[in-house]
Amino acid sequence: MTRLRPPDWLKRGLRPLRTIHGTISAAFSILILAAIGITSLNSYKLSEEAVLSNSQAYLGEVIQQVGQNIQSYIDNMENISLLIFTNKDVKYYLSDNPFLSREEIRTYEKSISDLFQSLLYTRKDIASIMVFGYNGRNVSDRRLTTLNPYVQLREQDWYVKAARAGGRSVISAPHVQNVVSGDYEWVVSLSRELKNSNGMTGQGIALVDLKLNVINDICRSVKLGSRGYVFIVDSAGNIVYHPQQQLLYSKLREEPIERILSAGQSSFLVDDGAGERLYSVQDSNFGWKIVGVAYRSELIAEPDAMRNSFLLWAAAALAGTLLISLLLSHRITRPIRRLQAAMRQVERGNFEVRAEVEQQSEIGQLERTFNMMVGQTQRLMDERIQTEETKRRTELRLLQSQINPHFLYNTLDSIIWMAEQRKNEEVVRMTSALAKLFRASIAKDDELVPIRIEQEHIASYLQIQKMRYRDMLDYEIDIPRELHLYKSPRILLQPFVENAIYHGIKNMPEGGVVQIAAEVDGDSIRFTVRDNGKGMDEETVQAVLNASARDNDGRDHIGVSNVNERIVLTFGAGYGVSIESEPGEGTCVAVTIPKVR
Amino acid sequence: MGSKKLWLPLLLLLFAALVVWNGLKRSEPADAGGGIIVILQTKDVNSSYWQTVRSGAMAAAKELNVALELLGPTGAEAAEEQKELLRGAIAARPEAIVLAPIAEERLSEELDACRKAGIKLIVIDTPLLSHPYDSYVSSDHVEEGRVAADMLAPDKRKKPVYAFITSDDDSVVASQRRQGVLEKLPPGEAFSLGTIDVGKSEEQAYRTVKSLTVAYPGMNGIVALTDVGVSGAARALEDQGLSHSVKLIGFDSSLPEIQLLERGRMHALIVQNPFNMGYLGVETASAVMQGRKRPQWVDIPSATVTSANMYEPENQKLLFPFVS
Repeated sequence: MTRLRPPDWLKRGLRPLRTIHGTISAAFSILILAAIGITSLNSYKLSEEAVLSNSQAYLGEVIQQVGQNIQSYIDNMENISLLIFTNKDVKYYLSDNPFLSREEIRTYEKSISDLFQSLLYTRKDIASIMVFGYNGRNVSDRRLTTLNPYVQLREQDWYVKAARAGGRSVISAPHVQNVVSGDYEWVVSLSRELKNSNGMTGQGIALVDLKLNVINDICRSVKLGSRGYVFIVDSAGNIVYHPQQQLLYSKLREEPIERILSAGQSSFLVDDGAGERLYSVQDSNFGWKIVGVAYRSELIAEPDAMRNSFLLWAAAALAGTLLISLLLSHRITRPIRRLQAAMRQVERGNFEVRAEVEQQSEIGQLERTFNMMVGQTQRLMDERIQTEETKRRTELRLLQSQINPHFLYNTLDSIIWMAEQRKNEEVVRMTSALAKLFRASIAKDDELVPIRIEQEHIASYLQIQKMRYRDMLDYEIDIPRELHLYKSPRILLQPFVENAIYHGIKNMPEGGVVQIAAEVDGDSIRFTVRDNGKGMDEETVQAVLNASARDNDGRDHIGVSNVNERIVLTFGAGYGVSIESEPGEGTCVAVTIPKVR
Repeated sequence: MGSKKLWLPLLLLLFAALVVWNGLKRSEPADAGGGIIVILQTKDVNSSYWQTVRSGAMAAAKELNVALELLGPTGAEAAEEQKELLRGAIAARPEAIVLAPIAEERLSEELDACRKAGIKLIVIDTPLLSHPYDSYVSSDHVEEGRVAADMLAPDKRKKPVYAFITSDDDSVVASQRRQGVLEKLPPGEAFSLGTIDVGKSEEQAYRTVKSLTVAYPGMNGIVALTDVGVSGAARALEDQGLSHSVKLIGFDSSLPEIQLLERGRMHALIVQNPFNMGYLGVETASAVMQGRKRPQWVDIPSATVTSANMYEPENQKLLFPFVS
């Protein structure tokens, strides 16, 4: 099984996130993207809703207009039927007056027909006007009316309903009018029962037919997008007019009739898979409900243009704000980068560099601290260099002290003197001691030497001095053998022994003893150089400890302070030299060094 | 600042640009593709049947928002003209062709070319018998025949003796209707006097039916397989006083037939729904174009109209097509 690893490009791509600048700009960018995205989407939705509600209102107005249009046609039919209703000629013609002659009837017929014709002449929307008397007489707008013999007049819907309505007008659904022979026109019929002069008894039915084309044209002329349409239902929910009535009959299409009937005068959205549609229902006072249907996608005029402008503005805003975020993050991280550059300089070893502190911000604080740190580091470095220098100088002096010419001259004088005295044995001893002394002091470059060497060295030295001062000087060296393997700085004890001889014992007439001892004290070794010479007062002790390396006789001299300094530089502040002295009693110098193998 | 740190904002910008571009791309008008070409059997405005097919097709095109071109022969040489129209239509490379073939055998070459060009073929009205197609949208003409047989002999108390009259003996629709009738009235149970081609002439139909009534006094049914000649047949029966004893049954409607029905001179009309045929033809074409599954045969039920139900709202719409 292979483990999923982030691909290389992703790792590379994420690398900038490790920088603060990268992270800040990424965070800004994402925040901005989210903010702009949400805002744009929201405002787009809001505008869409606004447009939708506007269109909804518009749709309502359009449908109302359609309703008013149809209403005006219906009103006209109504007016015509009222005119017939009140017409004296019609009343007389339909009345069962037995005194009317055939001729007279024809005259009435003609005048009524003329009236209808003139009405029809002014109204192109009316298909026909007819009156059917219960007495079998009928008259129409035509000169010659041949009724369709195969049509049962009294079974026609418009006839039955009008007779039942008792004088009120009745409007039919669109139908094919077939009462006139050979004529089959789609019409909407308005029928009304005519009353006799007492206004009680029915005399016949007046029929006014409106061409369905009129309603069709009105409905078709309404533009509700390219797919929207208008249809009409009656109060019972039957479709009065629908551009695709056949599809409805075949159940290939459904309209939410129930909702339309219960909706009253309002609008609602339907989403049944055939596209989200807005239904706007308009009541009319002739019982029909006019319904406008518009597709939501078309309601929003140029929805694409709207969305595009939103997208473009969002993109522009995004570009602008991204640029600003880039600049801003650049600006914010500039001091950090400056500090980083300074740090890099320090990394390369340049401690001279200082970050420029220009503000009271956190970064400024950081810069100040950095500067302080670099300064301190620099000071430490300088100090260290100084220390190294001092150490070298001390060692140089030490070396010089080894070949202290006076000591050498004196020793050589002593050797010569002994040679003249033919003290061969002593010459040999002294010369070999001198040789040992030099060997011990210049044997190696090592700073630290085994204590054995140091012991040899100090022993040789004391041997030489003993031969010079004879009874004036006695010495004892007591360094346990187990310490021989530990190390000590080179020529550690000689300066103290020298001091003990020259300043402590030399001027004592009875001479003195120098005792050298070493002991273990925990983790450190303590050497003591003790003499019973003149001793010093406290003041002198301090002077000796703090004295400079220069003696009052002007030549370089390994002072006590130098030894102390060497020990501290080599081993640290816990070690060093201490002096105890009593005038007239002697001096004890203690040198403490760590146990080092 | 290294230029590599620019990548993230740039990436986001790119992303935004992509979104915008995508949005703009989507805004391009929904391409209707090559659209749909509908080829009818006739473009004659006097043919209410084909005019209704046409309005159904246009209603579907409007509702589905597809580009639609309506073609149809106008001259006398309809079959030949239709061949040319189909050839032209294939050259125009529509996505789908809705075809009401007049004579399949004459269109053989074009139908193959249509297939080869990858144009979806929807057949309406008349079936294709020996060429492949994507869907057939029409009434079941055999079923129409069966219904006609039921109208002719509802109880079979009296043995049906009947004749077929037709104007076109080659018509596939006519032969399917006849097949349906014969299926319901097999030779043992009924007596078929055969099919007589009366052409397009009303006079020919009159004479044919008149001689049939004389030759076969027991005849009690005439099935007019196509729409022409019915008036002549009805007149012959009326003249012989046989309007009530001989059932005249026709297919589809025209004004003369409607009047015959109204007067009781005709027993029944089996009426197809041309509006739905046009509508479903285009709707099916659009669906097939988009790769949606449609049945090989989209059946459009036909209606049986008699004088009793001819003025019912549904039938009014079928019989009196509303052409504004």
